[in-house]
Amino acid sequence: MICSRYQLYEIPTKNGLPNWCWRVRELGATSSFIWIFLLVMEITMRWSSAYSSVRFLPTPQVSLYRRWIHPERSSSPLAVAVPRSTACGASKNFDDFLNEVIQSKATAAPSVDNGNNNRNHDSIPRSGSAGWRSMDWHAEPMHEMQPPTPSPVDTVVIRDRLVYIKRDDQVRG
Amino acid sequence: MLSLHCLDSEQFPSCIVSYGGPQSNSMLAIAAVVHYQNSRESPGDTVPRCKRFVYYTKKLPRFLRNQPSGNLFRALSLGMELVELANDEYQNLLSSAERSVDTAPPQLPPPVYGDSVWIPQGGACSMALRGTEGLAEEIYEFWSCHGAHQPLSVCFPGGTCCTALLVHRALQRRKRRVLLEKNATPPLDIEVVVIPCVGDEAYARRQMLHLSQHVFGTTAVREHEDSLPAILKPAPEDTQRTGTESNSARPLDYFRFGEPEVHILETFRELRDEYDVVVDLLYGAPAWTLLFRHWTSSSTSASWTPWDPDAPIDGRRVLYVHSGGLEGINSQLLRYKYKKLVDMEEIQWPGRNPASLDE
Repeated sequence: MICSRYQLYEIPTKNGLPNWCWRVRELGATSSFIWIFLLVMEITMRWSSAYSSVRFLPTPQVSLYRRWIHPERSSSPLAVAVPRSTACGASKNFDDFLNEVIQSKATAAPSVDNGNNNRNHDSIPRSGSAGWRSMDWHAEPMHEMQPPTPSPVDTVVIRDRLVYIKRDDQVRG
Repeated sequence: MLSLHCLDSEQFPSCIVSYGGPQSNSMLAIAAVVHYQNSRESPGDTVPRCKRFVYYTKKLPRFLRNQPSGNLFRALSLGMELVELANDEYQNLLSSAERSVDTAPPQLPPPVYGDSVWIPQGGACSMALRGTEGLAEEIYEFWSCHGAHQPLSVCFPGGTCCTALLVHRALQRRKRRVLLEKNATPPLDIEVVVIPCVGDEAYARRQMLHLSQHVFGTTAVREHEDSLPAILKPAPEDTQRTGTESNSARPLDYFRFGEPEVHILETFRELRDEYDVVVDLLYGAPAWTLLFRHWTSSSTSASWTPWDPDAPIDGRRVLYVHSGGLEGINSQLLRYKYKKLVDMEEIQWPGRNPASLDE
């Protein structure tokens, strides 16, 4: 009976394999292609966002990319061996911008790169002349330096006249 | 800068703030000292040093902003933080700084509270005392060995005229000390002459009086005036009105600072090509141009003459103090090129092989 039942419900085959096996394989190939496509997209997104000047990302992604950009601040294994995009003076990214906002001090003077507007010193609270350190330039230095070697003096005849030129532009020994 | 350089790492302030022109020699010197402090390693240091140098200047010209060069490029490379201010803002903020030498303008907050030091333009404050005393000592010692008791005029190109004033005062003190010493020879006849390269005679006098009052105390103005170095006139009295330079119909006057001038360029080329003396185009060449106007009458003097502040190099030996600034020659030559006074071949470009030009 059983055999007849099998014969009755015989599984269709193709090249000696049941058809459902082929379907699974096709499905697997399609899904693999989808996964590879998604992976490529993910890598592309991460690369482009890491090198863009300012990234506008949803909050969860910001935290993800914080770990991505700053591996030293993250315990996530995700961050291992990913270079910082902002080392060597690359453009400022969103993460650095956030850190600047968080860590900005009222006393920080603006560091200006020549191309940018540098008027952000207006945001510094005016505190008057208080807070400046006055130096006693007449005081003896704590570590006594050896007197420097005198700068050389060149002798030149200029327009029939002997002239001494003290080369104070040269580095002293 | 010697005083600054001598400071121990504990004494050295966290931040130095100064202001002035974008190609200032003083700016580069401070940047170098601060960079040296940061790069110097001590056994006790656990964290890297991060001394700062903040420099205020007027809005940079477009060509300089796009391509920093000369002293500005070097100072930025050394970690200087540049703050550009609009002209009116610069004047408002720093005009009070010109009134008081050693104190920062009241409306300027310290970048690092409690540990920021203010250095005025050109380092013209009591900080310069130690270095200028050393320089005066060197000049006096050199002339006592090589001068054979001849009268000497020490010529300084002057911006703030700080160096000239302080060396002059140090030489005066040295001479007084020699006079007080028993069985000593009479002091050497050494006088200081400042050649104004920024502004005119009145400006130079004002700058020196101002500095003198702040550095040496608030004694009578008259006393300060008596102890100023001689200021070289734009030309000798007899030629001042008529003008003796070629193609010069107007009365001889001082030069406008930084303005390309044919006479300055001629002097620069003459010194470089004929005497192998290279000076900068902002201070050195204008100073020598003014000196050459007095040179004609001086060279005919057969014997030594007594000191005359109105003719300070007549009948005297001349010692010129080279103030450096050679890094800025190319950027200044570019300005001459824009005025079609020099060819491109005279300007040294990075990466260009001069030998290939000769072929």
